Amino acid sequence: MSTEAICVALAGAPNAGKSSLFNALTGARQKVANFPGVTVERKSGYMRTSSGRLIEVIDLPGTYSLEPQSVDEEISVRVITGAGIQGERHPDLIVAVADATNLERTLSLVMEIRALQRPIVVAINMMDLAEKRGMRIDLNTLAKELGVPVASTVALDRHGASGLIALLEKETAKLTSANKISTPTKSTPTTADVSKRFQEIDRIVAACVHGVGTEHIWTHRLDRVLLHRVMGPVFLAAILFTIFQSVFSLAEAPMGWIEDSIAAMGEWAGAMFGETFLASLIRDGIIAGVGSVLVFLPQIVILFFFIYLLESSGYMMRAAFLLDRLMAGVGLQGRSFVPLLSSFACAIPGVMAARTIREPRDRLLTILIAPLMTCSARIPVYVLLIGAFIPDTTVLGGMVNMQGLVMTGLFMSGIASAMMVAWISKKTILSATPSLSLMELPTYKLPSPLHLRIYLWQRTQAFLRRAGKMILAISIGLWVLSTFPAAPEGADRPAIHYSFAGQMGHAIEPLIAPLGFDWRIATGLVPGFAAREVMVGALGTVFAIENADDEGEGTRTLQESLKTTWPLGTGLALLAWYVFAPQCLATIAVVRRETNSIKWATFLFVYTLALAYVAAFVVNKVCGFLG
Amino acid sequence: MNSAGTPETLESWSHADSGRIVGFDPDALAARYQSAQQREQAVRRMMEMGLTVGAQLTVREFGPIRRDPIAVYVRGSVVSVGREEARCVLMEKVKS
Repeated sequence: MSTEAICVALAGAPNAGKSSLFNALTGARQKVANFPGVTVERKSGYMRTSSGRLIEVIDLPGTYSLEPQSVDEEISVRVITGAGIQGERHPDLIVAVADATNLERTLSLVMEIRALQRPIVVAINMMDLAEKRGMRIDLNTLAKELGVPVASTVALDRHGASGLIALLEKETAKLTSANKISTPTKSTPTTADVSKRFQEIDRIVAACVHGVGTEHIWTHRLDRVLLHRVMGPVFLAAILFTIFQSVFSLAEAPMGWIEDSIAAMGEWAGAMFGETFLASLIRDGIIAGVGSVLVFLPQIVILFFFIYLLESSGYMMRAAFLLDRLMAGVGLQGRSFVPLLSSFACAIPGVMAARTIREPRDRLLTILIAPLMTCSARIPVYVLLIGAFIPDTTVLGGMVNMQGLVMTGLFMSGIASAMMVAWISKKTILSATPSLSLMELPTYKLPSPLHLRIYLWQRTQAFLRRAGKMILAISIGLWVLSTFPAAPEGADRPAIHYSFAGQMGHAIEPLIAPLGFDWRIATGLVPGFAAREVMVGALGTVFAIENADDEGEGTRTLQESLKTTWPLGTGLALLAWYVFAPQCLATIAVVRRETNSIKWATFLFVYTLALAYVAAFVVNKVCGFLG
Repeated sequence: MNSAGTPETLESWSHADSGRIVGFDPDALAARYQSAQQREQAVRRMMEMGLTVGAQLTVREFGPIRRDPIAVYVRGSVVSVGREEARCVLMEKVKS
């Protein structure tokens, strides 16, 4: 054998417990990357057999059969069949995972893989749950019937996988270079072939499984309520409400800490380097820029915590079931719900979460509308502008606060416009036959704290890596724009007025004048490209320095400045602009990565810009008309 | 497949109905899939989710809008089938 570690790939149907088994085999040290050339997640890790042999384990995306329905499944199938992927090594052995509690369905993929005649080991997972439900599976008979080695696993820790590890030890020792790669000889099965395969499975199951397995009793009981036509949506609404409340209320304190630390670091940098350009670069460019994104980390972690609970408990697919018809109406599917939910914290993890959608077209459409969900970066802008332009009064007989009403309205406009864009796309550029509405609703399970930890850690890393790199570069770029060239000697206007950003602001002023926007807004929009909430800071800079000349005016708050400088039409138009505002380069960059297409990233930018422009224009004109 | 009189389709079933899948009528999907090959592929996907001929099936719940999709219990798992897709699944009721 070569010195290169042996590579085994885990293959199995979705919900067969493949990922838990992967965690049990490799522990927390996993590498999450993409398969070469595509944005399909490639999770890999290493394990050691008792004799000390090192084995690389790859967790392939779940697939029901060797006839792929999505990009994810296509990758799995190429690896399993040996068709291969350019730049990806062939696994030496396939571990086909079946669910012991549901052999009559999950053996189907195992049978297909077995027919390929590659080195294979079958893992019958969740053996403990099957036994609890009164099933006894005779592994010896099963191995004889299948004609391949079989091990049972309990995928909670490494101990539960010890039988599989021992079997891998034995089987990998047998590998020779001769049977490493076989040429794929696979033809598309007909429905008759599938029928025959399932008859064979029924025969095998009858021979190996003793005792009548009962259905998971809690799944039946919970579904009666959670899938109920009336109760189901009520529970879904309650769960979503709880998640939103928690994301905003629980994140408040840690976000404050991060803001304080960023401010402290900025001061430290100022003290360290004095009033030099270097200090300004570090403080106003790097620390402030990267900090402005870092501050959303608590919200993102909390949101992912809930998403993990929903996903691993089995509830997520119930939500998809309840929303399936609604989403289909605008050309989406039930599964689009998860990425859209994530986008309320930040569009970046939302766009990344769209990977779980099987059909490429549905995935693309979900990615394109995800940025219309009101992300938390818009909230500081909304708060500033609402405080300045919307009176703090109550309407409807003192029942509803006007400011709160406007805030809710802005969230709703985001959702409504996303649905409209989806519907229009369905009718025009992204028309296609509706995808087959067919989903497995897995049995309910208790989430595992260990797997939760691994999941949160991986999501956090992915967010920091992706957002971090881009934000760093963008922050430095924007700092240069708003710092240079410096104001001339004896300048009587704020420094930003003379900078590139200020010049650009003046240059684009005529373009946005129909919206009621002046050069100050334009100047704020330039750094606002990094992250929307930077707009608040930029406006602060523009106004604070301007007001410094005005005696006695320095104490006015920014909101009061806005109120007196701009007419109501401008303020409301700016709010409307921010419902659609495309100013978030990080999102555009992630969309480019995930769609692997500059075209779609550009399309996203252009269509959100156009929507923002039209919305702001209409709002400004209506306000002007009403006086 | 459509021989034994007029078999019922899964789409016509109501809550807690239980029985056996007796066949598929791919032509019921003609409105959506023009080619016979696409229709056969759709049927194959349903079979791979466990909706195989001869399998016992029980209707569990209906989606909130237009009773779509339909959640059924078949071959050991709960599967959600769209109302339109359910039209091509031919059923035979078992008297309880």
